[in-house]
Amino acid sequence: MNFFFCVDDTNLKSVLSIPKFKNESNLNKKTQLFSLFIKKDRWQVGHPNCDSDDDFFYIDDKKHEKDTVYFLANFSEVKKLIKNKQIYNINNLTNTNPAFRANLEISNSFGGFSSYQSDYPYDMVKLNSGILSSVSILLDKSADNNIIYFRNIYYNPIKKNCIYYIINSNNKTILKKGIVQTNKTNKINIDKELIDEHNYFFTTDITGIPIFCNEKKHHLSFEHTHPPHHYILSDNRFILVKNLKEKFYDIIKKNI
Amino acid sequence: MTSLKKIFNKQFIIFLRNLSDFYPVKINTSFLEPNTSVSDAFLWRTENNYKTIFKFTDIYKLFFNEIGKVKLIFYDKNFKLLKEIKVEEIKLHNNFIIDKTFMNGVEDYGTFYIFHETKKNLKSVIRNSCYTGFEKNNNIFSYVHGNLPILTNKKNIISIDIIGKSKFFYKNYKIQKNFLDYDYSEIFIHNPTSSEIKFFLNNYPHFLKKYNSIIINIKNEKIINLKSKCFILRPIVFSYKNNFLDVHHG
Repeated sequence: MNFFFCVDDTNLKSVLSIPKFKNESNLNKKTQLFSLFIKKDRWQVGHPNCDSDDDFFYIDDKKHEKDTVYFLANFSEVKKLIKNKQIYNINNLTNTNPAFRANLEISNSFGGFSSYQSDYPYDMVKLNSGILSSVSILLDKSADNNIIYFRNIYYNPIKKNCIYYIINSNNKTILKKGIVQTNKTNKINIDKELIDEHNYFFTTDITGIPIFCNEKKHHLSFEHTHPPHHYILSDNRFILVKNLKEKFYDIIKKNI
Repeated sequence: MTSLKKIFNKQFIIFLRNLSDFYPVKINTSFLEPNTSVSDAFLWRTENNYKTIFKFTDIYKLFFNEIGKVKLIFYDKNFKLLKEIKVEEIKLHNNFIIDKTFMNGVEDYGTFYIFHETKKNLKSVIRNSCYTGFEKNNNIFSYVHGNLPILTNKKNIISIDIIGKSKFFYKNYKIQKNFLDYDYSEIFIHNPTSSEIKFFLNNYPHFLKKYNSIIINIKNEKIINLKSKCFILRPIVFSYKNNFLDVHHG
């Protein structure tokens, strides 16, 4: 089961196009699009009034409420989504290899646009481990704007404040820290001086997808980074990533 | 001997699964031995004023604190070797520009691979799946991450066929995007296997020899469906609107 989300940045337009088909085959015709949002500390499921055609559901800013996420399901399944205030995995409609994706496109008022094939797998909503991602690998010192959008979806209907750090792994210092929230697309502006090969975006108790955006002369680039374990194919990948993250935990401990 | 037998049994089972199309193993990395460096197939393009940037991490430095070196091998779209370079001292994160000057005046497109090298036994298989960016006319690089692991390198021997192929059955790979919203798009398709494939783009047939690649122009098509016997034929998409460009994997 995958969720889909929007950017929630008032400076940009975004359109989320959720396909009604898998890579290899079509979805069941009974499949519907549902929205999921928090109201009075509880999850609420809605039926979004969005545009659609034979192939896609389209969520644009006019049809989107901030922080709302979307998922595909049949009516009969939706009743099982929320139990004890938490969200549960209710289907495998979007469990495909490669992953079932929606196209998330951002654009500015000058016509610049960029997109990536996006999803938020259910397995991630149960996690509250941290993430580690290079700051410089997808950002650009020569750009006019550099932004990290950090999206989290958490199975409990809470907006919890967590800390993110920009850490220099070479001189072992914390260069910046701030707050990111669960169940939100967080926007973090990155100053040019933070774009350095040794600098990492790091969180300790919130997971999510970091999407890197830069804008130059009205042109946009928008792409997510891989988690570190993606670079290791052998069975020791999780130990190696744990060891790597330990170094960043140590830097935080020594700097507090 | 026992472990060799295990590997054989595993590979034989994978072979049977793929042959019969019963839970096929689309990406098979189980045969890779420790200290192997795997590379995705990265697209470079220098035609039509394109410039490519490759942003990559020293994976040995990141995980093992070992300064590695890399070998970059460039092929044209017909998998003809164009250039091989070794970079002895790499940084943690590296930017590598591929323009027509670097390609000795070649204005075309093709693929390149990166292999990390170390003399130490690090008992790990690493994959470089980093990021390429594409720009025209000195605008911004539009980035896309590595797509599929394709070639491996161990002790300078290049090994192949991580992406599986069905013997008998065609597979659809429908790109989950509406292509009608753009002036036009280009679909970059690379044959990830060591044998020729026939594929259909919206029922129009094409042939690609081993590791060859092609860019196909698309206009006035809403859905792009790639049909082939390849288990994953995942393309890179370039979409154009007015003077703006977007690049992403399919």
